[in-house]
Amino acid sequence: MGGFPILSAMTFLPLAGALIIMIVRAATAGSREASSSDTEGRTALLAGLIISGATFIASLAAFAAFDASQSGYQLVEQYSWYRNISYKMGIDGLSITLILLTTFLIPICLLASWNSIHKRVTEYVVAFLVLETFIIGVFTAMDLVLFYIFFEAGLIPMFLIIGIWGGKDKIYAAFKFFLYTLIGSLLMLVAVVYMYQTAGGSDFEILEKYAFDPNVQTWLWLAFMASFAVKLPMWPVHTWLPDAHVQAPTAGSVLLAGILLKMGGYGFLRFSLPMFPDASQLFQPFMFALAVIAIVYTSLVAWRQTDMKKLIAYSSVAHMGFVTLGVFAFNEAGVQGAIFQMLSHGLISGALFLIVGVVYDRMHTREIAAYGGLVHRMPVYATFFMLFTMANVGLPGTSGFIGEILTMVGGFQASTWAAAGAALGVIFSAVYMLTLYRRTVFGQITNPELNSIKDMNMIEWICIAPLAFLTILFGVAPNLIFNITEGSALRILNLMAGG
Amino acid sequence: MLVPLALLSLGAIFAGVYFYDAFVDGNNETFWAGAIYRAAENHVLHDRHNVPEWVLYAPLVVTIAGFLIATFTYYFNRGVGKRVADSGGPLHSLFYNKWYFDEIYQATFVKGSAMLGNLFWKADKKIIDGIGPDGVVAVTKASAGRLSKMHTGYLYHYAFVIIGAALVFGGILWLRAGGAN
Repeated sequence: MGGFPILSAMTFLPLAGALIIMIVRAATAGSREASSSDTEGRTALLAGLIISGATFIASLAAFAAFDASQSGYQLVEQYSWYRNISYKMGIDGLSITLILLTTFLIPICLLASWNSIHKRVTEYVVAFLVLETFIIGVFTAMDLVLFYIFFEAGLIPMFLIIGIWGGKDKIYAAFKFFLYTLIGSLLMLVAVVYMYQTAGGSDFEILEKYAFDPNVQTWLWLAFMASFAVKLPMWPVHTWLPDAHVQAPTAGSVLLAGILLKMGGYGFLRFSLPMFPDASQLFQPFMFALAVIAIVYTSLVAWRQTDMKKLIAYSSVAHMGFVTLGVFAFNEAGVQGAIFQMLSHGLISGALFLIVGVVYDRMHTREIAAYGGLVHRMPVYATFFMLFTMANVGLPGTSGFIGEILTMVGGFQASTWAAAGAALGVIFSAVYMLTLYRRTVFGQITNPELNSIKDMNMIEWICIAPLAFLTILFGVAPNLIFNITEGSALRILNLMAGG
Repeated sequence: MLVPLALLSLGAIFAGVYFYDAFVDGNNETFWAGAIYRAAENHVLHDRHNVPEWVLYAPLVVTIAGFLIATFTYYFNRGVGKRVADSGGPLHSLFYNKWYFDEIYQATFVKGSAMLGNLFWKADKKIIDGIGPDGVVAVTKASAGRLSKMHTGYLYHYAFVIIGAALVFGGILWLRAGGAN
């Protein structure tokens, strides 16, 4: 404690930036008629890029101050708020990994919107920046009430992003997303209130040490699970995701798949395992069953999709099934693998949605049948697409392999059948991803509109190349991540074991 | 192409003469140096010396037979192969279609998985969404539609509902208080 509050600065920098953009917009409202709305939008996007870039630098500063050899919370900031509820921020290996992923992806999301968003651009940028604050808040909060506020508040900007800048059925998708996540979260709220009353506070460190009665744990675990299962999402509460992805703008999909889904996995690791260890043990077979069903079921559904985004959305549900498997393996390989899989999936699925966005911006369709033979006109695009296809399949040398193999190793140690079921998902992922790649990239051009399609431009290069670099880097040198997350993973397992 | 093929042929024919002892018998344990683990109770390497003699010669006999048939069919009697193929017998079809493995895979794994995928996709829409969000919305909408019909605007309708509710509520309180006892 003490010193510069780097975590608060990092968390609220995007919100402050959003406010400045709104103030400047209001102040220049009179003179706006003189400049075109396009210029205003570009200025807002540029401002958003600068602010989110500064936030990324702030997160790197927080990371530089973070000591990976320590397992507990670090850079803690605490201010009393109301009774035993405090504004308390802190990070560990688990949270800093997801914070870096967030701050890294947001500028890419904004840059990816440079040529694709044309209406209400200022509001769009503001929504992204506000959402960034809430997401970072989720990962830095060390008080359950504060966490809940950030967790729920994030719904609003995402609801707006889908509902305003989405596709044809955006209203249906936005409401479905909102209802699903809100219902789950309300159950969690009841549990939050109970925990606060019983443990005498909502500080994570108090709650981690408090031994809830095993019977009560079951109900608390279920209440938290209701929220995290929707967010992750797990089968059978996953159906909001394909609709949300299909309707959301490209950057919205990147954000959804890249970061928002990770809140579910983060929640399981942060709360369910350390605070309700008995209930977690009790529900392990149930969670394994749901994970395997999610992996097999959604992989097969993904294969039958005709819309590229929907296919990748279903593939996301399958890949998050590996996270569930790893988390509930209750061993180091599983938990480390789950954290790694979240990071890896954030990069790969984010990139795949950008890849779809590249051709959607040119052709205005996501139907697989409308493509074919792209390699003849877009060789660079085909190369990047192939890399992320292979990474999504889990090819060795990419980060996708490390996440999947570790969660399966962890799962195997806990349940051979669960690991065997999950392994089917690896086969199916090859089926649907290679089918997608073959049908869109290989073969002859049959759609005459594709004859004039252009390869990736500079902005698309800048968005996708860093993701490709990290996908390979973490696939070749996964210890870069494991060294950061090891302490947190062991601490979670230690807390679960009653340590 | 002739030179590489000749070299490969020499290797294929004579490699065993030179490497058999190092790889299989003799000092093979020195060569593998534990790289291939064999459990102490596993005697498979020793047991292979006890197989019937015809098993040992079977590969050689089959190889020679294959060589002779190929020579007869494709060297001395060119056209025999085509005639056999044209006759279209079941044996030819079986081998020509690679034991029908691809067709069996297609009919079982591929079509089966596709059918399951379609079924699950429909389950997502019809069952999960149907009972879940879409179902809740439909029930809410239908209930709201029916309830709104009660808003007739007639005072006596409202009075009837108020009196009915008061009677039900009073009845519950009366029963909770012990009723007629």
